[in-house]
Formats: sequence, structure tokens, C-alpha cells
Amino acid sequence: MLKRILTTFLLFFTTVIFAQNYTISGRITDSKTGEDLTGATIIIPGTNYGVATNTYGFYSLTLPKGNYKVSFRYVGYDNIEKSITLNKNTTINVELGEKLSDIDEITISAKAEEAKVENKQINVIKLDMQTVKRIPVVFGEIDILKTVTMLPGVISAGEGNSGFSVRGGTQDQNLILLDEATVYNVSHLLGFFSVFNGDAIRDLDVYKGGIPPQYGGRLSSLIDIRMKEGNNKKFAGTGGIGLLSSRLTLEGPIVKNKASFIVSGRRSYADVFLPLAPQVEAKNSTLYFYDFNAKVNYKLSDKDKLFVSGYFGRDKFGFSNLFGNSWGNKTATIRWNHLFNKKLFCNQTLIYSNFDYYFKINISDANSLEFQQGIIDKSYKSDFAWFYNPNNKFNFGGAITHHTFNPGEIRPIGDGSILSAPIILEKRKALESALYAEHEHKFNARFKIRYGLRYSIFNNLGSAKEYKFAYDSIGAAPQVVDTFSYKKNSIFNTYSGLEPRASANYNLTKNDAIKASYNRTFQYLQQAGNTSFALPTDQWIPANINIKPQISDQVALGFFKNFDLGLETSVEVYYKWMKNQIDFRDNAVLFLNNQVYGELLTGKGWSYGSEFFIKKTKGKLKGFISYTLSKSMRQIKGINQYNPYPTNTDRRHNLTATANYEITKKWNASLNFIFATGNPITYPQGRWQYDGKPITWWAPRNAQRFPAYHRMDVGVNYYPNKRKNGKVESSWNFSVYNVYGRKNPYVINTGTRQAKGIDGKSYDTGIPITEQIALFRWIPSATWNFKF
Amino acid sequence: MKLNRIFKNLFLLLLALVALSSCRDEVILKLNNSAPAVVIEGNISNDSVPFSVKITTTSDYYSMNIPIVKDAFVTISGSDGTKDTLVYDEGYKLYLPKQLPTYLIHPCKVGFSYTLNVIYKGKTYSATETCLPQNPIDSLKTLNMPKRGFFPAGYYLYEWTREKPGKGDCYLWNLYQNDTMLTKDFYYLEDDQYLEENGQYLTTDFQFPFHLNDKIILEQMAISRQFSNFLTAIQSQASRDGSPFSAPPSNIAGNISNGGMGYFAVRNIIRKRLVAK
Repeated sequence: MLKRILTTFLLFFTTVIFAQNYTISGRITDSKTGEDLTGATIIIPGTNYGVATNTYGFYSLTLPKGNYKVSFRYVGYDNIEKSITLNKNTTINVELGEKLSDIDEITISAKAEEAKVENKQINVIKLDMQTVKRIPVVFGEIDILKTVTMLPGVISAGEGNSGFSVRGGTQDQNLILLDEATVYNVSHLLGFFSVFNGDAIRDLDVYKGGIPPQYGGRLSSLIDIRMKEGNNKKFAGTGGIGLLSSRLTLEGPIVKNKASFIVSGRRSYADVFLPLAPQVEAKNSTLYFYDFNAKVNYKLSDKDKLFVSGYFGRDKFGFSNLFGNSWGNKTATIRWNHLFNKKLFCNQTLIYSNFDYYFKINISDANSLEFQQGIIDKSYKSDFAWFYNPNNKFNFGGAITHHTFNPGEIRPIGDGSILSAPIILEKRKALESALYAEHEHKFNARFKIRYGLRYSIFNNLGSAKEYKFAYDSIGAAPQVVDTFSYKKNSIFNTYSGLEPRASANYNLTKNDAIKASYNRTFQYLQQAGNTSFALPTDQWIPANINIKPQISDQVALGFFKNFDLGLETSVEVYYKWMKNQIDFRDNAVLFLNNQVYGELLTGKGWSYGSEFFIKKTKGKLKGFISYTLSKSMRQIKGINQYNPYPTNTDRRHNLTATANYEITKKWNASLNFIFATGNPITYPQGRWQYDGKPITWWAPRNAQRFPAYHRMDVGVNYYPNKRKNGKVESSWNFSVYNVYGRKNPYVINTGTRQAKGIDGKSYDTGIPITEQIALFRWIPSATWNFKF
Repeated sequence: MKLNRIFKNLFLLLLALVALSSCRDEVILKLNNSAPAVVIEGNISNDSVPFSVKITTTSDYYSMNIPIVKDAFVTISGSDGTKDTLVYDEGYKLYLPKQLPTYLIHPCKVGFSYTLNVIYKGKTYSATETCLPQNPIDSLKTLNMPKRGFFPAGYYLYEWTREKPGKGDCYLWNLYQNDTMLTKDFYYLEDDQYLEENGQYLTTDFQFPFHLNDKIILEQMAISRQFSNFLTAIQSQASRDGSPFSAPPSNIAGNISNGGMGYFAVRNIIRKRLVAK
């Protein structure tokens, strides 16, 4: 091992000592909108030299003195080639233009570079909005998270649910970042839609493993979503009118070529249809969501750029004045990019994220109270990228986050409330910090490694009250045996850990590559919810003296092969070991419980699987097929008699296919197909009676399954001719979700049969039955989109 | 629990919205029905309610029939030295003391523990509980209240007590209106878990409107924390609707040993009678 490290360093120093090197650096932007292009490539054709731009469009390439032809390339854009004589450090800023004559042709040739097997990262999938927008979705609402669930290794938590599981992990193990800010609850309307407005999003990366050491805090995945920056050349707008919501985005320069803004809003109007619903409760109800994205960026100088972005979204649901619910996220990000010199790039970020849930009840003077809970994060991140030479790049930096957890406050409204004084559970506070360093090293054209280390520390901060619990037996109700009080701002508990991350890439031929990765991740907070849906009431709770941080180790191996016809294929296998996984004891009390830790049980989990992916990128027919064969298990003392049981996200088979066919220039048709093994479920194994009340006797946890889930969606997109002199470009999207009307079980209830008596009133027959609810069948939708 | 219900409402609303496409069907599931297990429902108290034990077994899920066990050997013995053998009574379908008045000789005494033993098909099931002290009622009266939101105008019962020091006290109430039990379909339970101080002065308002001159009986029972948890679990299972907002199903653990289900409970009862005015 030591020898190998030495060799690495020797290789590294050889380049240092012997070459007289200069650096070309700069930014690559879109010529039409002025937005930074992420992942654009800068290549010296005929050599191994090449780099890609970072998230901020910045690149740096250090080469020996000489004459070069440099090629600048980006997916869907024209290539630009420049000849340079490199005898000093040089700045080259390049604007690449989208080729409009035939977008698809261009996409193909430019994509060729990105599609190269060597440029593909194991565990990572990039999604651009173009792909996302062509996939038919329920009610025509473009939803990036629904698209994410079609990727190999990602499993949807179910219909009408924005949650998803990555390689057998739970929903709270996904780190979802919107411009670096954590989004704690990604659901609108309890998960029927996600909070991300497709018009405001530029692109996203999905990491299923091999998470860069820069990121941490969640076990299973990183979904890195970036907002658009706004056009800094001219004023533009996009929007759409759909069945459930409408959206409008405006963007333009504040100072031409220097500063730009984008604002994007969306509101649902499902509530408009409520009076049509047959139920009386529905008629007097409020039910809607809205969200708002905004971003401003300002080029302070050639070396400094400032970004300010924010998201604000809210869901409201209420019934007359009797009760109201409201929840949502607020995030804000301020970023400053600075170039120290041609090789050293830095990014300073301040982040704020807030999720809160509010509930009010006002049914009588006595019964009037309001309830609030939530989480607030304030973070500072400092990230550096040092482009040492074409074969060596270093990333390093640190981050610190202050968490405030509000487990719940209940306050009386008015004087008549039965609640004489507010009940306030003490806020929990914690600091989560990390330092990291990473080295990307290219040995030669064939072999590349990337390795790094993240050191994370978690401190619980006072003031706090913590409890020590005792149990009659494992899984029984907790009893407090000791109470500890801690002073304000004192650190009373600390966890820390080293998180090594590494990946290697070896190109067998131009079209074949083998990749491998290992990573360890720590997670210091988790969501306390034991329903199959992530409810806004599910609070986030930090690790503390009772609960240790979750730890995961993952290894993955992948084989990538490209075919000349525009077919890209890959196979990845993984195995994951997870420690300190939490679950709740039977009949746990979670709501407004300041001793919620007593309700938790911990154990281990493991998951493994293989993922197959075929993507066709050329020709009139494009699309992908993804198949995942996987297993995800848990074993926890106190649950299921310590026998291993499948997790809620365990699916043996998961097959998704999406295809888009260009019929003419104006029309294209798309199709989705999804097949997944049914969700694990706990069914009854019998019944008994106590005090005349029927009680279900349940079989071991998750021992059975729902019937398999499958459905097909179809859609067409129509792009009418742009009117002469017309400024508005428009398009139509028509789709049908679940076209063959499969009754996929959403829930299976156990209950008793209701019947109507001779008097017309319904009564309970007491006959035990099971019934299934299927949600969406044959949902048609039409959306009109415009652009000016 | 309340929040759960609210989310259920939201869920129903969403369902109403997608009503055109969603559908509800009765389905017959292929269930792995398990071999029957013994279920015991034992109750004793310091009061004139007879000692009674009901023994049944579990049945298949879709079956309406709850099989009754008639040939078990049942005894109840107390740390106060009492011991009773109970025999099956065809009329009541319960195990009762051999001589009915025994309970008058052996009512439960505060601080003593009682053990139920059931021998059936060669297996012994047992459970032990203690008779817990009561919380004396300071005063009890009805107040004539106007209509408040969902609550109609009427005479409402209020109870004033001083909570016993120490945590873990649990109470169960039964309420009767002109000899009709109002608390038949649910358990009126309370515990002191969320009370900040010990010995707090408490007002309990029972949310039933009585009429003028109604005869009211209030039974206040001191019960164990474990029994209170058991009843709460039964209650929440009864309101479990299988929506995604319900907690995962879990079996309700009682205090019967050896794989038996159900509960053997000891209640310390105070009974008060008054007339609504």
C-alpha cells in the first residue's frame, strides 16, 4: 500500500519537476443566455489533455509550453476551436452557442464527447431538463423527482408519493440540495407532486454512491439540483398552463452581460374543483400549494461572481375556519466565486434552510390551539478547487451547519382554551461540521483515480434535557430512569467519523471501461415517522446520547460499454452495509413526545443489487431501459423477534423504460413503462377479540407483498410553427397516465363490511374484509407551454 | 391521534379529487393463517364487579367465529393470601368463582398483587398485576354550558382532583347516563405523563352533554400503566384505517405469559352518583 502511495506521489512530482508549465483558464457560458455551462469540456485533440468545467462554468488546464489547438465543447452546442501559443498563463472565456438548425443532430455530435465511456462516472447519473420534459407524467406536471425514480437503482416509494429509495436506503437518507441548500420536505400535496418547478431548474446530478467528500450527512444518495441563473443578454419568459397548476418564469439582464435575474412561480388550482366534489367536507376546504424560485447573479469582476438564490414554497390545507394546516420550505443561498489565480478556484457559500409545519384548530373556545414544529439550518461552506496540472486536481474545504430542531409547540388561541399555558417541547440544537480533501489523479489515458477523505463532527448543544430509558423488555414502552440537564451552548455530546471515499476508472478500449468505488457515509439526523408516507409532521431528530449516527459502507463495481449506433450500456453491482439503522417499536408514540428517543430501536441493514442500463441517444427513437435486481433487509432487536425483514423499499425487480419517437419535426410521441415487484406489506394472520372489540392478529413484519405494480403512460408533444414575426413560441403536451387502467394498489385496508339497512342508513355488519384502493387510472392531461 | 385523523381527511379530500380515476375494491387476500393462540381477558377489582375470566382463541382473519375455550383450569391468587378457583359458566360464557359471593370475601386490596393462572392443553399461561391506589375526587359537579363549537349546549360534568405525586398514574373512566353506559365504544383514558409538576390540581371536563335531572354515574378506575398502554393500543387499532398515515400494524402485547394474548387487569374503582342540575 505504502509503495503504491509513493508511486503516486512520484508520478505527481515528476510532472512538477520536469515540465515548464502554463495554465489556460476561463469560463464557458451560453452565448444566448450568458448562463454558466457546467460539464463543458476543453480538449486538446490528439492528446490526453482535457478537463471539464465545474458547476460555475470555470475550467483550468495546465500544459507544457507549446502550440495547441484547443476545442471547447458542450452537449447540444457548437464546438469552438482555437489555436494558441502557450508561453504564459492565459485566460480564454468562451461563449458557446446552441445550434438551432437541427438540435438533435447537434446533440448527437456534441454528446459524443460526454457519452465517451471514460467520461462516465460510476454511481452518477446526470439529468438535463430536456430529457425530463419529454417523459409523460401524471396530470402533465413535469416532475424531476418522478424522473429520478425511473433511473436504475432508484425506487419510487409508490404512486402519489414523491419519496424514493436509493439502493435500498430510506427516504430520509437522500440528501436533496437545491443550490446547495438542504430541502427537508420535497412533497407538495402530501407527495402527489414534488416541490421542484421544472422551469426554474437547470440540471441535476444523482449520486447513488461514490458521493464526493465535499458532501455528507446522508447515507444513501445526493441529489444535487441547480437552479437556472437567468438570461443576462435579453429579457425572456417561459410558462405553462396545465390541468392542475400554472407557472410563469421571467428572466433577464439587470446589467447586460454582468448581472441577471430569474424569478419563477407556480400555483396549483386543484381547490377550484373542490366544490364539484360530492363530499360536503370537500366543499368548504382549502387545498393548494404554491412555490417561488428566484436567483440573481452578478459578475463583480473577471475573478469574482456573486449568486443569491432562494426558494419559498407552501402547502395549505384547511376546513372552513375549524382547522388549518400549512407547511413548506424556505431556502436561501449566497455564493461568492473567486479566482485566486489561474489554478485556484474558490467558492464561499452561506446557506439557510427552514422547514416548518403549522396546524391550527378552532372548533370551540375550549378547543382552540395552534401547533408548530420544524427545523432550521444555517450553514457556511468553503470549497476550493486547485487545478494543479491536467493530471492532478485537488478539491478541499470545509463546512459548518448549525441545526435547530423544533420538536413542537402548542399554544392556546384566546382565553377560553382548555390549554391554560403553552406546551413547548425544548428545541434541540446541534452543530455539524466537516473538513475534506480529495485528489483526482490521471495516471494515463486509461487509468484514473479519485480518492479523498471527509472528517465529520457532530456536537449536540445545550440547553437540553436528555433522558436515560429503561425497558421491561426490548420493544416495550420506555420508562425514564434518569434525566440530565445541560447548560445553554454547552457541548454535551460529540460524535465524529472519518469517511473515506474512492473511485477508480480503467478504460479497456475506447468503448469499454471498468469502474469501481468505495465510500463510507455518516448520517447524524433522521426523520421520526413510521407511516409509509413522509408526512410534514414527521420531525427530524438529531443523534444524541441515546441514538448513534448511522454509518454506511458501500462498494460498487461497474462495466460500461458503448456501441457505435448511439447505444450506451452499463452494468453496476453494489453491496451496502448499514449500521445503527432506526425503526420504531410497536405502538410507538411519536407526536409531541419529548422522549421520542425512547421509542426508537436500532439495528443493522444491508442491501445489494445489480443495475442494468441501456440508453439510445441517436436517431428518431431515443430513450432508455433500466432494470434493477435488488434486495434490502433489516435486522433490529425488538422487531420481528430479531428476524431479518425486508425494508419498506425492498423490491426484487424494478424495470422502467421510456422512449421518445420523433414522427415529424412538429410531432413527437413518448411512452413509459414501469414494472416493479409489489411493496412489502404486513398482512393479518388471524383475528381475536378483547372486550367485544375485534382485533387483528398480524403476521411477521413485511412478510407478504402487494401485487406487482405496472403501468404504461403515453404522450405526444406538438410544436406548431412559429408565427411569422411572432415572438411567442408555444407547444402542446397531451398525455394519458396509466393508459391500460391497471388497478395498482395504493393501500390495502382491513376493516368490516358496511351495508345499507332497510331504513337506508348504513351500518357495520362486523364481517371482516380487506379492500384495496387504486389511485390513478387513465388520467388524461393537456398542457400548453409558451416561451418568449 | 388527532393529527392522524386530519391527515386522513386530507387524504380523503385528495381521493375525492382523483375520484374519477381512483377506485375501491373489496379483495380477498391469500393469507397465511396461523395456528390458533389462546386469548385471555381477565378482570378483577375492589368492587362488586365479579371476578371474571374469558378465554377464547384466535381465528382465521376472514372468519366471524371466535372459538370459546371451556375446559381450562383457572385460578387467581393474591399476595394477601387469597386463592380462588374459577369454573366455566355456560350462561355467561365466562370463568367465574365457584361460589359467586367469593369476591365479597376477597376483593382486591391496594398494594397487593394478584396472579392469574390458566392451564389449557398442557400449557400454563399466567399474569400478575397490582391493585393501585386511587386519586381521591375533591369535588364533582355539572355546569350548564352554552353551545361551544362542535359541543351542543347542555350540562357538562367536571371533576376536580389533586394529581398524585410521581409519574405513571393512569386512569380509566366509565360514564353512565340514566343507567346507559356512554363509554361503551371507547376507552376514556388519562395519564400524568405530560403533567409537569407532581401534585398538580386538575380539572377534568367530560365532553358529554347531559340533560337537566339526568342520573349520572362516574366510575374512576386506577389502572396500571401497562394496562393503559394496552387499551390505548386497542383503541388506536380500532381507529386504524390502513391509510398511508397509519402507523405500521403491530400486534398488541398484553401481560399474559407463554405466548398468550389479552390482558389480566386489576382495577381500583371509585363510583360517584349525581344528578345533573
